[in-house]
Amino acid sequence: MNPVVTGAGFVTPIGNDRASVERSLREGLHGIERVEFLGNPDLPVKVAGTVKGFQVESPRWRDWSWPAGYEIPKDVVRGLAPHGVYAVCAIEQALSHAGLRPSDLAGDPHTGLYCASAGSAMLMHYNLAQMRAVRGVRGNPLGVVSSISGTLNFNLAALYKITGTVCGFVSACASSSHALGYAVDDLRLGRLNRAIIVGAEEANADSLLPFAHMRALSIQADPRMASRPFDVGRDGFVGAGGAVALVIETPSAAARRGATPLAEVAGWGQAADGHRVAASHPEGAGLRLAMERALADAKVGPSDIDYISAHATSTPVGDSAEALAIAQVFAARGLRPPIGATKGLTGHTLSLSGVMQAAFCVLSFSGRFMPGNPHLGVAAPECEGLELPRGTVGGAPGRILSNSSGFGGSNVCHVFVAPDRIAD
Amino acid sequence: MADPLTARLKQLIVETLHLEDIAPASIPDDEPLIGGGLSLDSIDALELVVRLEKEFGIKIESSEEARRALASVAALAAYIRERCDPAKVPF
Repeated sequence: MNPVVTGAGFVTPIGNDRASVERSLREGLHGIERVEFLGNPDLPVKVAGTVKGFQVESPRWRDWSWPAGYEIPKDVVRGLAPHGVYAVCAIEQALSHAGLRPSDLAGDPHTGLYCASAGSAMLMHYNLAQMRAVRGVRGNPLGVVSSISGTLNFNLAALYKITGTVCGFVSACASSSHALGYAVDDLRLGRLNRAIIVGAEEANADSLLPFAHMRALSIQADPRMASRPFDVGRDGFVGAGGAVALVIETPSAAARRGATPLAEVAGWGQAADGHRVAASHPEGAGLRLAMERALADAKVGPSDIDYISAHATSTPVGDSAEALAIAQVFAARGLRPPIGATKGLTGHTLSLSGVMQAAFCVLSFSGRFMPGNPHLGVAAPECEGLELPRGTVGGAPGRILSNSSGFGGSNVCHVFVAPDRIAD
Repeated sequence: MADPLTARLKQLIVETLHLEDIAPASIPDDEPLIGGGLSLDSIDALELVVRLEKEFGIKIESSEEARRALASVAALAAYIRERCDPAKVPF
C-alpha cells in the first residue's frame, strides 16, 4: 500500500503557513527580494528568495528571533543552524496539520525522520574561524552538530525523540526528494508506519554566493525578472531558503487515528545522468529515465498525468535538459499536460526544493489549482511542444508528476495522486 | 557601595548571554554563576570566557581555570583584578 500525506508545514519565501503559500502560488506572488551580500553593493548577485519573519542572519544564536507561537527551548536552539529554526517551525505546522502532537512521535519505534540540508556554511565558517583564532585550543562544543550537513537529523531526532529511523540525504538539489522516496519505501516495506520528511536551507552569502562563482546564479537585479524558468532569457537561478516538512503515513495508520489523507505518494523513481559534476545531461537522459521509473512505480502511464511540477531552476542548461526530457516522455506521445515551475516564485531552495514541490502538490489538490509560470516571457526554443501556462490553471489535478535534479546528475521524480482519486 | 567592577561584570553577563528578564543588580555576588540561579551551563560559560578575554585582555587557559574564575561574580572580579592590565579596570 502506498503512503498518504497527512500534514504539511511551510517556511518559504512565499509564505510561512499553508494559507499564504497557497495564495502566493495561486496568484503568482513571488518571494524574491533585493539583497546585498557581505555589504558589497558591487557583487553581481542582487536578489534572493528570502524568508520573512525570522531574524537568523547572525552566527550567534542569542541574536535570533522567529515568529510568535513557536517555543524552541534554549538548549535546543543553540544546537541548531538558522535553517534548523526554520525546520522546527515547519515540523510544528506539519504535525498540527496532521493532528499529531510531538508526544505522539516520542519514543515511537514506527516513526522515522528523513532530512535534507546542505548544512550551515555560515556557522561552519564562523566556528572554524573562532577555533583558528585561538590556534585550536578552544571551540564551540555545539559547532559540529549545528553546522555539518547532518545538523537537521541530529537535532530534530533529539528534539522529537525519534526512535524509528533517523537519516539524512546529501544528493544536492535532489536531496529532499530522495528523503521522501526512501521514506516511502520504508513505509511500503512495513518497516515504519509514519515518517516526517523535512528539507531546509539558509539563504545567506555563505550558502549562496559560492554558486555565483560557478556562474549558476542569475545576475538580474529585478526580482520579477531574475527567476524565469524555461524563458529564453533566463540567466541562472535565484538562491532561496526556508523549510518544508511533510508527514506521511501508511493508509492504515492514518485511518486508525482518523487522519485525512491529503495525497497519495503513488510512486517514485530515480536515475542518474552519468555525465558531469554539476551540469545536467544535455538531453536530460537521467531525468527522462527517472520520470519513466516513477510512472512505472505508480503503475500509471504518461497520459494519466494531469500536471507536471518542474524542477526548472532558471539555469540555461538545467531547464533545457528538463524541457527535452519532458518532451521525450510526454510531447513525443502527443501529450501536453500543463507544466509549472514554482521556482519562478520561490527561487531555488537547493536541497529543500523536492519536498517543497511535494507540499505544493498537496496544496494543488486541496485548493484545486495548478500553479503556472508567471515570470515566463518568451519560452525557450527547446520548450517546443510543452504546455507552459503563464497563469494558474483552475481545476483539480488527479495525478501530478514532480521532478527534481541535483549535482552529480541525480534525478528523482515522484507521482502524487489526489485524495479523491486514490486507488481508482 | 557596590564594587564598580562587579557591577560591570553583572552587566556584561546579562548582555553577553541576552538574559533579558534578569536585572544585572539582582545577580548575587557570591553564588555560583554556572549551575546556579541563572541556569547557566558549561556552554554558556564558554561564551562568557570568550567575551571576558576580549573585554579585559586576559587569557583563561583551561576549563579548570574557567571554573575557578566563574565560581561567583566576586571570584570573577578578583580573578580579573589579579591578571589584567590595571588600565582596563580603572575602578
